[in-house]
Amino acid sequence: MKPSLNRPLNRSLNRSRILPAHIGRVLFGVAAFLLLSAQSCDPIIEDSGFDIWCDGEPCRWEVEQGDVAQAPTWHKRDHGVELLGDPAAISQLQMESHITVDCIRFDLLADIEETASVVLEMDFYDDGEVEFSQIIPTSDWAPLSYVVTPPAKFEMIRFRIRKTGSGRAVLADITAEDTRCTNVAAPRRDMP
Amino acid sequence: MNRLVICTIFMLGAALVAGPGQVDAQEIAHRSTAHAHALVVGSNPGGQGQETLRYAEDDAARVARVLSELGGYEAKRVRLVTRPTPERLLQEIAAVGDALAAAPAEESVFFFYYSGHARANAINLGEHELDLATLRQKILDLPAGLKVIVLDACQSGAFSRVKGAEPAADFSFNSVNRLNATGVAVMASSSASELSQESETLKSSFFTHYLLVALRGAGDSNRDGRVSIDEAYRYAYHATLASTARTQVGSQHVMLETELEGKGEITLTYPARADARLRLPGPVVGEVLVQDWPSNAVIAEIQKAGGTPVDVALPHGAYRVLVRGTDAVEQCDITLPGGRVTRLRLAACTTLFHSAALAKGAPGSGQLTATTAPDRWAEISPGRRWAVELGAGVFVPVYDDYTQRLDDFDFSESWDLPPRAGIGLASQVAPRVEIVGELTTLEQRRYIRSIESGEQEFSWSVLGLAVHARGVLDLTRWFSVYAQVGGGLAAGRTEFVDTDESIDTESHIGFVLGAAAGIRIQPWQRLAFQAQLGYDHAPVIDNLLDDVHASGGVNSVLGVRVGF
Repeated sequence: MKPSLNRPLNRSLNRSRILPAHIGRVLFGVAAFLLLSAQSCDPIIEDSGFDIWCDGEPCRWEVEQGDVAQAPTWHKRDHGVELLGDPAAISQLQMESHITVDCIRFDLLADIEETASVVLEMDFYDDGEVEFSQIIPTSDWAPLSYVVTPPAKFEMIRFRIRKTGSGRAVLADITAEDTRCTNVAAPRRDMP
Repeated sequence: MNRLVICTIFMLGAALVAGPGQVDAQEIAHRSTAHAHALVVGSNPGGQGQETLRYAEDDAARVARVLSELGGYEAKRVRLVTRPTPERLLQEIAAVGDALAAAPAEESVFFFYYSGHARANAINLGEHELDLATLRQKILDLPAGLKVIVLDACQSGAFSRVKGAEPAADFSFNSVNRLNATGVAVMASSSASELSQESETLKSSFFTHYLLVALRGAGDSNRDGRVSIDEAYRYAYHATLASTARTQVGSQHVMLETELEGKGEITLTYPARADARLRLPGPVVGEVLVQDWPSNAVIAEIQKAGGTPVDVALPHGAYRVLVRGTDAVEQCDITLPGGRVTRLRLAACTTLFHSAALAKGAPGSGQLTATTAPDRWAEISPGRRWAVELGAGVFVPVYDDYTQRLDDFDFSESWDLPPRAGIGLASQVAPRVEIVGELTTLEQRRYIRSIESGEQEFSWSVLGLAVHARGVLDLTRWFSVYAQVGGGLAAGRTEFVDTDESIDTESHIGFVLGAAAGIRIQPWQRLAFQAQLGYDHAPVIDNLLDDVHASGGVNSVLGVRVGF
């Protein structure tokens, strides 16, 4: 049984806010702080912003296919990773014995052209079997969020971002945090 | 202090020649409107030994204007001639005669005005002279039932030359005697032994100035909406005498001699028909100076007595009114709309000087023997147009696509106090209207992001250089409200500080639009305090993703204003 994609979240907020929105923002921030302080939200992915580079590659990521390059995002000094080639793939293996989470929330920030197809994959046991696969839609730096229900217990996850097609695909940020599966109705994956 | 040009001003008044019987004001009014012609002549140049006059031609222009505005003369029938030769002047008189011939003599009016140099028996037209007898005869021969003849003629030169000298025989005095015809009325600015003066502050001769003030309504003592030649004379006599008595040259006594057997009142102007009128209410007491704005040209100076309102007929427009009472000098900037009477509200005026300041020799105080009343006004009026304004306050940050993008990329705002500061230069360009040039900090923001390798900081600041048009409404003598709108240039600078402390800066240029409203408390003459609430819109800063940030936003500023 595959882990279920419970709900895609659109983090795009109303971007025309001034004073009233600001007040609402503060109130929301306070509420969010109180809520999140009662939850665990430890980051699962390292260097989620592709900020650390070693010899032309993001240090914390493994280039499996194709090539990568730094690419400016909103500012010329803020870089994301551009997936070069068709196909191209980067991945990161998280091997932690204590990984016991309810759900995993992904927040993505990417710029993907229509002629490119980018897929986020999760291989929970790094056994080559992709338990979760989510196509990242074409976007122009619009934040996207997904909540995934993982297996009840696992020891490792390989996160992989795979790109096919000739179009441009730049990822600026991909964070994964454990979160509670509040209102998530889908069942967890059974133990193997 | 005025530069006094000593001259002899002569006035020949009105000559009414008509058949026997009572001529009432309505008939005069009808006659003036129907067949009224005027020839108004001004000539500044003097002959040999005479200094060039400064305001004779301007006086003529003003007389022509008043005749058209208030005298019932059609503009096309008011001939304004400057610096004519004797031949040209006689031709003009003849041309008027031709025009008058088309109407019955008993229904026609002719008004003649001359301002310039003259000697005892002739007027000086530059280097040429026109014999008085010839001029008189030409005028008397005109086929007009009513002839109003005004001659404003200087005889002598500069003050230093006439000091201690005996003036020549008075032209107007001679004229009165020589125009010995039935129906002649002569109003002369001075007696045979007196000199008259021009005023640099008034930009006019004293007598013509006060005559015009009278004709604009200040002379309407019986408040019937008309100014008769008698009323104009009485007003001009007192005002001219009062002003010239303070000068070193000496007093002028206006003369009026008439021969109006069986005639009624001669109405010269109808202020009630004016385009706009300024009403000085009964409680206003003191010297009242009305200046055109922004030229500061003196339109009227009135010694206002208490109890009776006085209406001054003026073209619609903007004026500055100064009222010198016993305790203070009030300044009132006022706009007169057309077609109505506007009442002067002292409560809305600004107090320039209190009695204490006046007693200490502040501008406007002191002995009056060495200067003229208008000079005193002149020392008060200017110098209040400029002010420096300093302000500081806070603004409410604007959140938009740009800041949202920073949020998306995990930046968090650093909550420093968002200050706003500015310096401005304000100039009053019209009553209740100021132009303000202002340099202001529109925004200063800072965002921080933590990544594995350290902390990144992104900040920006925006300055605006804008010009605002500000309308000011004085509610009391010390309290005003204002509103302003404007725009200008804005410059922004962004700074990206990376984890390795390297800094990347970018500059941006754009525009700023702004509006604000505020209150002004002015407890002292030159110092005021302001509180202002405004909004600025400066879309200057952008990013690689074409998000544009509108700097500015709602702001609140407290400021101080220093006039100079």
